[in-house]
Amino acid sequence: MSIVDVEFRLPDDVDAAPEADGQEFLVTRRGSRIPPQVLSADAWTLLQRFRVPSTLSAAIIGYCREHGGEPFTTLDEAFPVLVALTRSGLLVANGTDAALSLTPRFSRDERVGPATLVAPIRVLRDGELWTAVSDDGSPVAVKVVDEAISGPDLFLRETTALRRLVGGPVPDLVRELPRSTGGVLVLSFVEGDPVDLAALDERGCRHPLRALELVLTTLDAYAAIHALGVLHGDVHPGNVLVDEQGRVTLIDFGIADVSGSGLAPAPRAAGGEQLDPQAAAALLHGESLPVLDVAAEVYALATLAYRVITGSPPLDLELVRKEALDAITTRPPRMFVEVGQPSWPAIEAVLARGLAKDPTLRPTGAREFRDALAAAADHTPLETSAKASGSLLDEVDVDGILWATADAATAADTAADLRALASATGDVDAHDLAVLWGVRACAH
Amino acid sequence: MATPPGERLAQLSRTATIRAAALTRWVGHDDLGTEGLAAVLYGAGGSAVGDHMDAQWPNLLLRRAERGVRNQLADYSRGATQGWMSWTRADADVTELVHKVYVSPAVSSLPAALPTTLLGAVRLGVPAWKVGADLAGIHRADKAVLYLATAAEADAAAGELAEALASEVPQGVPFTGQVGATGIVSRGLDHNGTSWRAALCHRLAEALWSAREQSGAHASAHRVAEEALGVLASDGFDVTTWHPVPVGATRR
Repeated sequence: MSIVDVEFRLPDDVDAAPEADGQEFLVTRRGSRIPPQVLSADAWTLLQRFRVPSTLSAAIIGYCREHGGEPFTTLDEAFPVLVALTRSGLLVANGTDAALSLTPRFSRDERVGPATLVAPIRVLRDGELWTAVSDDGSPVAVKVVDEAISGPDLFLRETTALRRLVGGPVPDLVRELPRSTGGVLVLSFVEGDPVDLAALDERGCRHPLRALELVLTTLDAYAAIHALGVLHGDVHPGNVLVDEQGRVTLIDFGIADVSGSGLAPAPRAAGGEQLDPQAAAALLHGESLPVLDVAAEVYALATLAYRVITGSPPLDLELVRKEALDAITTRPPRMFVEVGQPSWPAIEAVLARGLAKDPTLRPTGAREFRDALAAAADHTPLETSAKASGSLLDEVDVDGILWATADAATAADTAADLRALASATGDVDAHDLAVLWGVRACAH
Repeated sequence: MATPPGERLAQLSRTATIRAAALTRWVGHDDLGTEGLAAVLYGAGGSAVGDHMDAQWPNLLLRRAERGVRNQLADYSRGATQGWMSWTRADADVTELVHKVYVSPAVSSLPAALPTTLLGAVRLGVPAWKVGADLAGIHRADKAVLYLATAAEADAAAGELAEALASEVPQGVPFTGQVGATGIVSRGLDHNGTSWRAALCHRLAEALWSAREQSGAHASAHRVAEEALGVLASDGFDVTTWHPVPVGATRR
């Protein structure tokens, strides 16, 4: 059967939300690990024709009949988009497993090993995570790995790593229940925030010194697991949880490398901001990814540290894939001021070492990286000048002289002053008056 | 324009109306139009995103608020659309959930107020609600909206939430009916898929333009506002408390 004969369908669990301008739609599939895709309104309209199973040609012809356009031209334009949609699981061959909507494998109050399920945290196509209660009443997490091809290896790696790391900065493995497509892990419950979010204060602002403190604690945790022969292989903020006391727990060891365990080399993630330059170079040249090593993990930890301290990644990777891979292999990390943070030369220098393209120039391990950052912390960030603010509000309200007399330039200046004041103070009156003066300035 | 104690949202609504009336003196109808003036009214009561506020902060606020009620949310599905995070109970018929309760804490109060709001929503069995999930969303006045099937249920939920949130700093949603002493909680309505507040702001914008035209360019903003409010009152809107009136009770 050729692609011309294949009937495709848009699964029922695909949702779309219009962007603010209504010109594009954010399309996502529930339970998919693939990030939401941005489609033009036209592409989303075409995609919806596949709610009813259809061949590509029938869908295009139907679309053109309804909305106008020449079918061959439309097919030429739409074909790359449709192919991309099949790769992201938003458009699937009818009648295949991929076309089935996601349904939870378990239900509330169901028993799993020594635990009773309470509520799902997330349900994905290749696994689930639940809150649960163990027989002794303690809260536990039930993690289900369910993927025919990679599931058994993910499960084996995670259980092997967690057994190696007992007592370390990882969840306790309460019970493991292997299955043919992976298995079920019952784990001690870890309550916490992703480390990049934990660096925010109660006003939603990031404080470099507090962030650095969290980075050092995180690197302590990584130094501890490395000392036991485990490389995480999946370093990102969501896998580093910080509880209310500031303790760090590392989670998700499904692609970990456990030395001396007899397991094959760990599979590597082939994307993301943590991808090290050697892996990026291999992908650029169509080669197989290098084996995970300490240098690659240190690079990933440096990207994590950069993100925790600044809230941004060290490289702008909002690019097409080849350009992003190029950037990883060639571009230096952005200076803190480039991502809107106060300059901190001493820390930036250590991060730059961790992010070195040449792995031999990086710190030799998490411990050395941590100690270098701790030493650099003595030099505090350079303060930016505080914004001057004062109460303009009495003078600029609509009862005042200024409102009665202002010309266009004055109106524009007043609007700008009020916007600055509103941003600095959060004052509602300043916000509303800024809008008012802004509208007035535009109309002059 | 100092805010007197008491009916805070009524005062916010009046202030927004007077300011919009003042704008009609300087901006022509051709430039701004009814839609533009309605947008100014509808957006009143918002606040600006702070200079150093992290874009991920709303995400953290929602995670922490949800954590307190995670186990009680098993019967709800969570969705994300256009800057909102929403929770809908599996058995809810969303077409019937037209009675709204606004919860509007000041941004500085969100870390405490949001968990209290979600806890209250779950405890009261509210079938659906949504919360602003990005920086713009948490700065708008109507940053959290609960949806209920009847006015009685909505009034009861609003009363309980107002009490639970009485110690938090309010932001407040203009053109909604205040519940409780501070204005952190208020009532609204949807009708035919349209927000009552949006429809009201649109009608008020029409009335303001009309009043300006009749009163002349030099009429004071207060006078224009009074005339426009008089028109809304004669249409059947409650321009004193801004509580939504039953469907069909207004002429427009």
